[in-house]
Amino acid sequence: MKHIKRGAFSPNPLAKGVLLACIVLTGIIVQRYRQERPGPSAASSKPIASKPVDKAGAEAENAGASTTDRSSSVDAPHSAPRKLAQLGQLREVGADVYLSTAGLRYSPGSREGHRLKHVLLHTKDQPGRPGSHGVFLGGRDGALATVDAAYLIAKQGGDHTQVEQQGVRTVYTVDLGKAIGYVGGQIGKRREHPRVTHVRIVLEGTNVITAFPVSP
Amino acid sequence: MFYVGFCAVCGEGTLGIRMCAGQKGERQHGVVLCDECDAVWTTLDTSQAPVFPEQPDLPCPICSASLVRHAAHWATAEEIDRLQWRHAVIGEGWALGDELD
Ligand SMILES: [Zn+2]
Repeated sequence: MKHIKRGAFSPNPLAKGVLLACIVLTGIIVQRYRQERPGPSAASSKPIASKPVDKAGAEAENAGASTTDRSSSVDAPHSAPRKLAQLGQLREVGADVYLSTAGLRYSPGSREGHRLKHVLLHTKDQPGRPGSHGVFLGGRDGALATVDAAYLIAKQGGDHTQVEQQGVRTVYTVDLGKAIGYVGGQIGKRREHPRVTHVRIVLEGTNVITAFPVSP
Repeated sequence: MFYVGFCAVCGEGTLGIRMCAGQKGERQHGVVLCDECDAVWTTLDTSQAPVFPEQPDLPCPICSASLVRHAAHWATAEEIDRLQWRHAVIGEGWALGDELD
């Protein structure tokens, strides 16, 4: 067997190739997300798994759908970007634990019983909530795709992302470069629901605690 | 929900007074809980670093009883008086999700 001696920091050519391909692929996905224009329908981006919706997010999904209908007359268009079938899809990887396309985990937790259901509360305005309540455009599909896109951008680092470490938690604030939601709640109501381009994601490792549109 | 401020951890949550159900009556204690990110403070001084209770049960940092299950609930005005926390309350409003129920 031929033995090739390598330097301590010389990567395997195959690993180097795979790494390069991952970087290029991530860049393409993020670039495509940024270039997409809001479209009239998010129906093409149904999740692979239907179980998360049934078990954790059915009510919130319904709420999201009605929000899209309602808000479209307020500040159109309130729809998810098109052609995002890859992002925001979920597959079950454990007991009631779901992994998104971008690698985020949604697990049981919160007063709602599941972090997915908790995040999907941000697909509908809550005008009586004190302070701000960020609302995603595009209902369930739009929300999960946007969170995935923001996470991919956050992992790349750079000027579009602010990162704050708070103990075990990482808080990302990511500029997606286009309107992805609006400010609701009592503050949003007073300010006539301004559109926002930023998403805040609160994580413990890759476990999603919460995510919502935010005015930075 | 009676609240005492807004969360500096997540920048969005309302900090409500939550009654832990681990003990009853006079010994029942309250905590400050963010309705968005579940950060918890055991005193009214929310300028201190919070505790992040383990998901999914959110054990109370004082007694380990769940802050989301069983009889845990947002504090009533009477309970807040018993805690002697009324002076810290800045308002009453819907917690995340409760408005939709
Ligand atoms: Zn918070």
